[in-house]
Amino acid sequence: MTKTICLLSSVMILVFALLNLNRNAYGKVYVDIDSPTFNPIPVAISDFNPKAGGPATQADVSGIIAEGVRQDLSLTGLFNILQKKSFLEQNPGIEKIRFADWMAIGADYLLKGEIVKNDREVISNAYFYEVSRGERVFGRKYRAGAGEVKAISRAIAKDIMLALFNDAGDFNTHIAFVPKKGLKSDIYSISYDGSEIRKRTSHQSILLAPRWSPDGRLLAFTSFRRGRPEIYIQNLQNGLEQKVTSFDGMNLCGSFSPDNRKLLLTLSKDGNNEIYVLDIASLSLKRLTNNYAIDVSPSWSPDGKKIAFVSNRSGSPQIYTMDADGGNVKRVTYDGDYNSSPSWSPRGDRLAYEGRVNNKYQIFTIDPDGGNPQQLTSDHTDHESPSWSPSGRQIVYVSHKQGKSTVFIMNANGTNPRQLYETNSKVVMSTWSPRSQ
Amino acid sequence: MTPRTPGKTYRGTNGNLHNMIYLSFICHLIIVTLIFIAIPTTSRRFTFGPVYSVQLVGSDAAITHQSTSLLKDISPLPQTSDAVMIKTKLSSMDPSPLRPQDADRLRVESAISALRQRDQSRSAHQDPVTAAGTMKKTDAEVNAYANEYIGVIWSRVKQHWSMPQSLLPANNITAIIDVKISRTGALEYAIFEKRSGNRYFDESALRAVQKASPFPPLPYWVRDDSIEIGIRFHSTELR
Repeated sequence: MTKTICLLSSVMILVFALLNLNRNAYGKVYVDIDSPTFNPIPVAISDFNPKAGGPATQADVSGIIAEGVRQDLSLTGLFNILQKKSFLEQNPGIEKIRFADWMAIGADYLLKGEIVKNDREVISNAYFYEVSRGERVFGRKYRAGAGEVKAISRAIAKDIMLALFNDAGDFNTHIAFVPKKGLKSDIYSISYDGSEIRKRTSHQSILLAPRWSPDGRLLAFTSFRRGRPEIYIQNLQNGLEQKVTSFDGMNLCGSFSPDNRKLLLTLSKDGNNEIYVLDIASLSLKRLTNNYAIDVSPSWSPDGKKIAFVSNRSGSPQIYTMDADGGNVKRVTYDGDYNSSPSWSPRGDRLAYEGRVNNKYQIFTIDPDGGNPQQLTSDHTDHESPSWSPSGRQIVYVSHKQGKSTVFIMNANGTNPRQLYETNSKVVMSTWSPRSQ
Repeated sequence: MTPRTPGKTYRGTNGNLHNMIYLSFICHLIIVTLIFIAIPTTSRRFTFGPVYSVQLVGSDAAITHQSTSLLKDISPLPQTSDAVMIKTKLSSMDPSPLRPQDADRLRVESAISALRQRDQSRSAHQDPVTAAGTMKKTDAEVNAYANEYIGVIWSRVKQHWSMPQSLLPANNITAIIDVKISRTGALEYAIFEKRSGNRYFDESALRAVQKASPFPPLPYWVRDDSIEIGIRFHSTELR
């Protein structure tokens, strides 16, 4: 009996407790706030503090690291790097930071650091703060050889991207392109920040379609070195090249598979241009399309299940997708009479391509199922060869105007185009590399 | 109580029968109370309560009511004209939105209204939100004041909310932050009731709340020492 009474009373207590909670819940109001204003993230980067007792040369290095981070972050198009002269707090130390002063100049985030340099190496501690809460987001130690201060800047910029967006950004990447000089050209690459240009081949012939393998170890391309198109693969570590196909007719590179083992190709050995897949180790070939129409420019999806390509089977060049085995072909683009050069976003959710509008080529993106087409460029020049950055946040493309070619990088939504490289020769086929290890 | 053994039937002993009756009574009680609790809770949860729910996304929705004609005279609220005004007028970080020129104007007007009604004069020195408060309020009036105060919170948070466009996904995402504001207007806490899954979006919403604080002091009619507001942040426009 007592047991049941106990049970009963505890049930009643529970009921009252719940009712009470409920009554409190009555008081809560919900408010809706929609669409934030669009502004880049304001971040203050303070010059690094040379640690006491070091040699005098430290002072310049401290400025170099901070300036490097400023440059790297501004390239992402996501940050508004606040002017140094706007800083209220001049104290370079990392103790007793007056966050109110940083908030007053509008900074959301603050980077501070210390640096020690000796003859052999540079050691730096960097601290990244969220200003409105006065909270440290991360504090980390960086070490690099005396001549590689830039590596520290990039590592800090990368850690900031990781901390805020969970993605390593596109620092440490390169863009391959081919500046055409008559019939003699070679593949060059330029670093993401534009600071370093490197010649990658010495074929001195017509070169086309440079493609990086996803692990960054191989570079495939088409070369006319022996008078007709052949496909080569270069090992980027030792520079050795291997000729992988030399069929009659067209031999054109498509993209690597996500596992680096296969390479998509366009060959015309069996009549017209068709898409094939080449196993790189065994050099065995498999045909994927079989059609009276021309099928070219294959690009693998990041999950390896789909391939986007261009076909004129409907009368004009349009983008299509198919399964990796060649089945299940679906048309993606319907607007315009010339759509080509598809490139699959590393996130898998968009395709970039070039489409003709009023006789000029413009860059577009579209969902792989054909939804939400978006035109990203619109000025009255030709824009070609879109290629995604490894983070999927930016797109590189080439624009041609009055005999000049310019390599541009823009945000994936078309905003903030930034000129990376300009030359008087015609540049073709820009392709973004993966992140180097 | 008699232990139940496999050999005996339930009807065999009185003790077991009583136990079963009690048990069944308790079970019914639990089920019935659970139903009573559960039904209003879930419905309120999904509709967010008809009494206080505020949708402040349009231009004319921000501040709606002027409850009495007297109120108009003694406290011409800067934020009552329209939503655009709210955004510009309330841009200061100062917890008390009363500005010197407003105060001057209020003093003159309060003197006039003091002639009309002596005991109203002191309210002119109060915060505009809490002003005109010595009258007895109907529920509708209290609601109007609630909307007013929440409108202030809304516009301050909205003003401080920004992020790079390229970080927003194409589809709408939503984060809900629970905000507790103490009587002085200080932010007691801001915690996530629901995260959107987009790291920077969540971070920007939380920062908007933090940058917007401290808020104006709570109006006098709030009896509790603090109020709790759930702020739902939507990435796309609610239309």
